[in-house]
Amino acid sequence: MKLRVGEFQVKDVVFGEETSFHDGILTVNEQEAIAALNPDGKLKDVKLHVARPGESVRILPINAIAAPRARADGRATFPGYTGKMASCGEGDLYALEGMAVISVGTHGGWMEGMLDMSGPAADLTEFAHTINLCFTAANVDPSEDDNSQKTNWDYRLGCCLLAEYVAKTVIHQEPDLWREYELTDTTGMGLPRVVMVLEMSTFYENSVGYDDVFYGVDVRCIVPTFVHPNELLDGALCSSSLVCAGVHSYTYNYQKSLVLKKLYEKHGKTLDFVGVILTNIGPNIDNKVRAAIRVATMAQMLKCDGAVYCQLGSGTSDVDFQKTIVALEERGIKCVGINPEFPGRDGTTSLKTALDPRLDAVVSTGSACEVIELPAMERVIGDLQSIPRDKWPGCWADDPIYGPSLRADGTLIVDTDHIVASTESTGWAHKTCQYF
Amino acid sequence: MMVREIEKTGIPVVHVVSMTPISLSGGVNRILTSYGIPNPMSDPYATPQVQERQRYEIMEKALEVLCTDIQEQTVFDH
Amino acid sequence: MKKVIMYLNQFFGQIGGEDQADCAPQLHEGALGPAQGLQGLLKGGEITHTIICGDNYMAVHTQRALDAIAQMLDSLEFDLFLAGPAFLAGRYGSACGEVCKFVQERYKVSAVTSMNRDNPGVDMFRQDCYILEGGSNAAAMRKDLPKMAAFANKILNGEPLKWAQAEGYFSRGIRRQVLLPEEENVAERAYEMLMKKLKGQPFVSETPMDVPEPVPIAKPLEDAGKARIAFISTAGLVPMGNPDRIQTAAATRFGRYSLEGRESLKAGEWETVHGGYDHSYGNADPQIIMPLDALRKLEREGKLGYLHPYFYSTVGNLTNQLNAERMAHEIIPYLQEDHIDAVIFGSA
Repeated sequence: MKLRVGEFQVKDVVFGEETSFHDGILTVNEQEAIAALNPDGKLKDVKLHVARPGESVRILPINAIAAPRARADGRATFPGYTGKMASCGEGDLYALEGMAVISVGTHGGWMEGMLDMSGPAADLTEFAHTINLCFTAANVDPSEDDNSQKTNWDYRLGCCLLAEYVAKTVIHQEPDLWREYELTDTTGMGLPRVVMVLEMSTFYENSVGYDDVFYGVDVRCIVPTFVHPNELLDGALCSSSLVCAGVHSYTYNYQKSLVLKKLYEKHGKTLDFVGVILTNIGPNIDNKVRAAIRVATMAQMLKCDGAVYCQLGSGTSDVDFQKTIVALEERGIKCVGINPEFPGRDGTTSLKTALDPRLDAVVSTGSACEVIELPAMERVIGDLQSIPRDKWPGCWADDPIYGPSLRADGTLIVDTDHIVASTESTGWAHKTCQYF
Repeated sequence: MMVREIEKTGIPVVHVVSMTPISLSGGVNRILTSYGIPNPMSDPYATPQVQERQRYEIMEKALEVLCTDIQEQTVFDH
Repeated sequence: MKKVIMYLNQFFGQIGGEDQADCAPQLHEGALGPAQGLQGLLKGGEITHTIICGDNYMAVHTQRALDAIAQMLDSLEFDLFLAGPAFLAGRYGSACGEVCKFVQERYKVSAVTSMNRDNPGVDMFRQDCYILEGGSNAAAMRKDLPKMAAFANKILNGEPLKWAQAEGYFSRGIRRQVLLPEEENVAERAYEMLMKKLKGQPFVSETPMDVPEPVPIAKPLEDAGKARIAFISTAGLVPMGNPDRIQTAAATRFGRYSLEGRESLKAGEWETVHGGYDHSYGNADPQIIMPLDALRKLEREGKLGYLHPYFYSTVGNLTNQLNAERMAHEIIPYLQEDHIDAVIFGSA
């Protein structure tokens, strides 16, 4: 299975008559783009915006982020989701690099997040360093808007549709660079066999539309499964609407995981990259034990020597993290886990809900609950008043110690968990935690 | 954890919880496995009559656990 | 030039040996003893005064000693307070810690000392001030003083202080995020760590996984049929509309809801606000979280002596440990007042 990704470096995104790409400038026809992202008219007041690195821009409430990619052969970018079910992971994929597509709703909730394009929060997330094509919109049916938990279904799908729409314009152009992804034969090289284990959001057994989407299917009742890394690079997995913004791995992160790319880079050199096991965050202990057993058994059947485990979220997923790594280690498979820490706002709390000294190799993406002060921004994409009004976990209407998150002068005080993908674990976080 | 603080005063606590590893690593002594995270006290797919019985039995079991002399952290099944 | 004040014991302050260990605090202008050596190493700071106190005096008459030191310091302006180094000397180490803690709290000025890892003062005061790791006896002075000076210089010049291991002080138990260069992202670090682990080479894990000590096991009930029981839940069940505005995560508040006159909890009157799980079950049937009908039945049957007339509810999702402890301590008096014998604690 060989995937070629044709990379086009985007230098700017502007709006214009015709959606096109020339000399690094992506021009977007707004009406066409809006029609593409909102095919069933379930969103209203749809508007497009561009946010560039270094600008004084604040974006919220963000509910989905995707990387723009398209195929020349008519297959959907996200098979089974933005179009018909088809195989993915092979052939040519056209990719706009250096940019992301972001959807912005009207109400904050459990999984919504914020992004600053400059200032101290910009150091915490990859998405302050991409040119972001954003859309703001409201649900035609407002029934879930006030909920702390929302499916954000039309936003999430719209985000993927817009990512697909803009990338289509570069089909048949010659990219700056073709990157090839193939798990070449390493027989006889004696390299250690390494698997990547990726936690998916699989938490809402009882309700459709919240969890991760795999080939168009809500994975809420899935048992861990094994995929080719190219399938992830090629849009097989799209992100949920459940995990807090800071620890959230967005569709973009799944499409471009740096952990996955690192293992790929070293394939045939220092290791033999076997593939990716997608695993669960279960809603009960049986689900977690089952996932741990399934992952360990698959890794053993694949004759793995090592594994890198990317944790999604925290709290109950600490148990999945612990149980699965222990199960792998018990079968002689050496594990490194990647996880966010929750040391408390004052830095004195237990970091994980499930601790186990057998987890002896754990890399930290930083603290998801460090309190940060942020300056006011000149431009807001979305709604700043959502902060005092809505049910966000990473900010507050008022607090006896910190006061309100949003102050009259537009400055903010929030948890790092409020910043999109700041402590996600599929690759970008260049942070850790230390004792002071 | 709140459970630890209450038990420190000498009041025995039974922690009815699905994520028993969290409770164990939090240093809780009497742990009773519940039905699930969003559904601690019964199986939501069972009939209302069965769920009523499950609620009763898990609470009866909780009382039994509170009456049980233990020497170390112990996980009980409902 | 910023001002620094130094604290020494009777021996290093050159008053005398053990025979002078009972001497009360005294204030000297300028730098004495090791403070002189330190003075030459400070950049942007001057040691204006040295306080000397006998180790026994500080140990036996702690409050009197601190009061005397306060009288000396109240009229002085200073930007930094240094004490020691105390090496392995236990009384001296405790005295340095005691004084640093006092000065830091009273004058809001950074205080730094130095002692050996095995000095009992380390565990007594590491959370209260910066204690640099030092040698075991005075022979280490030539190493410990430059280290103290380098750290002091950072504070004097407003440079950011790095974490405990990087700076060489004993951790105060505060865990904070640290930004790394962009190329040191988790993908690179995880790969490097895995290769080392696979090759059997040493590596350093980043997230500690130490398990806390269990609390002493409370005595079991003799007879549940005679016991007074309370129900507490962290699954986020609240009256419809969430009147106490319990947060969906990192909760700081709990609700206390009356059960008086109630035989069961009915759908539509209650909702769950816990941010971390599917609400549909608890909203459809609140008794899946708080099984009041079962508790009432057990009470009627005499299997449960008495049910406390309130249940306590909060959200146990990403809750800060200190907030959890504080909420528990706010609930405990209600339990004690009603002579509660045992608690059933339900979590999501």
